[in-house]
Amino acid sequence: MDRIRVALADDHPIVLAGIRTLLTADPEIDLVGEATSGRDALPMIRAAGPDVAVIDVSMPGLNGLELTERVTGECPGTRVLILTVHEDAAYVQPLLKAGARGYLLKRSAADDLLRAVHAVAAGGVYLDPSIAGHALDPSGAAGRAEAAEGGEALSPRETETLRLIAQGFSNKEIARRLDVSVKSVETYKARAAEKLGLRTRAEIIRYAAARGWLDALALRT
Amino acid sequence: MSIRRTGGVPGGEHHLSRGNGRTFVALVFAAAIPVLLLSGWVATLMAQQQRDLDRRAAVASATRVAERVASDLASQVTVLEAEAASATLDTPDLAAFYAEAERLRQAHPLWETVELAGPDGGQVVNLLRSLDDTLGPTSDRASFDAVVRTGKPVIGGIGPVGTVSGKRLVALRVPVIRDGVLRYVLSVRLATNAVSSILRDAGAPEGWVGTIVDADGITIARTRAEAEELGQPANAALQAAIRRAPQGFYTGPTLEGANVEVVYRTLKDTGGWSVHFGMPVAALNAPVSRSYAVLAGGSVLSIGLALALVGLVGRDMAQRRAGEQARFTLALRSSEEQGAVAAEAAELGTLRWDAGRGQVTASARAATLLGWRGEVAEGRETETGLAGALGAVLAEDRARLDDAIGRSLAEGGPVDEEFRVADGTGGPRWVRLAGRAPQLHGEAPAGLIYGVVSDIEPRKRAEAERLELLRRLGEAQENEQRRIARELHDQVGQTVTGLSLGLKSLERLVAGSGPEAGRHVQWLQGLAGEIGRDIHRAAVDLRPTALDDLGLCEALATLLREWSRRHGIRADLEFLGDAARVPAPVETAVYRIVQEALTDVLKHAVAATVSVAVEHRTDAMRVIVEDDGIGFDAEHAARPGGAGAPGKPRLGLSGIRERLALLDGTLTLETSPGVGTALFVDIPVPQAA
Repeated sequence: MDRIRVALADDHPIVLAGIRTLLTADPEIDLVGEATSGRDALPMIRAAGPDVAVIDVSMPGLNGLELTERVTGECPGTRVLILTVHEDAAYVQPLLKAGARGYLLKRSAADDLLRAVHAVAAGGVYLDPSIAGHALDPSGAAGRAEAAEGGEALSPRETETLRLIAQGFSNKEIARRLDVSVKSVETYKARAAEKLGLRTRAEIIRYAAARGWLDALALRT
Repeated sequence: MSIRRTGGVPGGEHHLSRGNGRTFVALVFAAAIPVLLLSGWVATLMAQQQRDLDRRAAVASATRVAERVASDLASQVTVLEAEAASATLDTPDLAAFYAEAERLRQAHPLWETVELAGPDGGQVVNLLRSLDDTLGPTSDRASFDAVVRTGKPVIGGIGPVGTVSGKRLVALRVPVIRDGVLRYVLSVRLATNAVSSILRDAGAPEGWVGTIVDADGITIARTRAEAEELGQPANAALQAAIRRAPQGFYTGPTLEGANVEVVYRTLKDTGGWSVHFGMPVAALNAPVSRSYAVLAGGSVLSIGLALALVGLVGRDMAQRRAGEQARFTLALRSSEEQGAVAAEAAELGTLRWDAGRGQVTASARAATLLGWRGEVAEGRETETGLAGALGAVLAEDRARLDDAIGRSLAEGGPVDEEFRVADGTGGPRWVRLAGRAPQLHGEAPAGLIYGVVSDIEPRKRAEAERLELLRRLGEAQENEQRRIARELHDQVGQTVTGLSLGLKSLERLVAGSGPEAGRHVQWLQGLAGEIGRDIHRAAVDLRPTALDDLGLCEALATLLREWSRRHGIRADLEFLGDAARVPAPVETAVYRIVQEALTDVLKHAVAATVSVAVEHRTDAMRVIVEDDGIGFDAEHAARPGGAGAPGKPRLGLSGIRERLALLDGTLTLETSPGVGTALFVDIPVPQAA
């Protein structure tokens, strides 16, 4: 089996040195290039044509996201493994969309870097275990909103209240609009939420968005 | 206050003493009026009584005179009757009779003569002549005939001037009857002055004129002008009266006057003689007339006094009113002066907003503050139309000010508005108008507001500076935190990463040196990992890099996820509207506000679920943070020290409010015990140019 050709881009010398030591210790890995900035990294990767490019997200010059896009666009044979300090799942999605095949937190690097490089080189996708859960999270809520479909039918007042709640009005504002008391609004809201199994305002908003109730709002904005 | 007192009291006393004098005079006048009227009335009554007394005295005199004359005549008649029965006439012995008669005449000085006549009227004896003389027929034939006819004594009227006596005499005749046959008629001729003396002696009341007339109305005696009237027939009124009734009153013309009141009595057994007492009506009524004059005079005087009294009281009232008005004016001026001094000292302008007249009147200071164009006279009031007054206000604030004034006029509440005035020299200036409708005796003239205008430019500037300072402080803090967070991530964090990588290499190198070294390396690795996590957490707490790198939505999502995981409270985020980035200060503010709200929820709410909704509208961000916790009594919490179960006042709210103040944002809180709490935050987003 061929040794895995790996290129390394990190602006931090200590980290770079640590990774280099770790990678060179693996007999199956060939370190074919190093860069300390985003701008230097692209020509280096283009020239070396590695199997796996380990890229730090936050680098001066060209940041990790752009670099990933350029590398996946220009070097189809190179798979990108993102190495980052950012634990926010929010960073993951854009990078995965941009073509990254792996996402590894720096603090896990000591233990998991070699495994990640091997996994990506083998054609798989590697996500750091501590963020793997986050990346899948958003789909769950949407599922709940859909599940509420089968609930009991709402009265017109409850529907109206729910719609206004989703549009961001306070109970007092709703009470004024519907010409009822604040207590009544609270009651409508509680009853409607119970019928549909919605527990929070965010869920109500998602339910409303799924119904198209907020289209008018979207037009307005 | 003291100024007004020392100035006001002496003048008031002066007015008072003058007023008292006038009041005294008025009282005297008021008392004099009834006294005058009463005394006039009493005088009239007394005069009338006097007149009645006079009349009654006249009647009494008339009666007395009548009785005296009658009795006198009766006694004469009695004497005569005795003589008629004399023996001298039995035979008759005329000489003896003559002597006897002569004796009688001597005894009665009023007897002018005694005459004896035969039944045919021929005189037989007359004492005025000697017995031998031949005598003619008797005079006064009427009385003689009456005696012959009746056979009873008769008192005749006054006769004509006698042929023998040469005087007007009154005849008393008695029949001389012997054996039932009339032999003679014995007569006595009385001089009328006898009757006159009786009349005079009877004492006619003062001023009254007494008259005695015979049955034919011929005057026999009179207390005045007797010489001319004796034997003359009396006036027609008298004659008519004695024919009409034996006694009574009448009025008619007499010697003494054209209109004389007369009382009269007819004498008994005197052949129709009557006594009359008369007085001119004018004289009789003189006291009454005088008293009437007095009464009239008194009345006129009373009316005069009353008019004077009315005048006095009227003048008094007018003066009092004038004095009071002067005092009021003084007090008003003093109070106005005090107000003006206070307003000047506070550098305030005063304003009178008269919507009814469409005019605004302002003191010089107010006019200057309000930036009115045109002449602003020093120390004088300036007036301008409503449009002019509003026109000086900056266009952005004009509607708000007009609205506030309109509301105050409609509801009568106070108006307190801060607005900008376009200043000719510099930029717009902040001015505050505080005022209200005047409250005079409950009913206020519609459309009027009195206000005070103050210059709040320095305060506004200070406020703006303070806000700017706060904003910059916040910004500096954010920047500093951001720098430290970046430092932690990019430097320290990387170094720790390098450390753990190095430890990993070390682990392989010491693999053969026994388990002791391996454990040590692993322990160091654990330590390095922990440091890495701590650094990461500290950096995120300081400022999440996601907020700068990925935007508000992602940063919030991470925040909520982390928070939820850390505290075991379900957290839910929904982001609505435009996905475009908003200015960094707004993003930071929203992020921090949510952070603080979550801290609050953790501290107070005892919630199971928190829901955050962020809506990005065209010109504003609305953030709603809602929990299903125990909530609290919002009204209770609004008061300081109103802490109490359930839930405590949210201290984090003040931090949120401070942040919002920098961005002109607003916070609305909706909560009630048991239902949970919802924060509604609105932040205006400046449109990207």
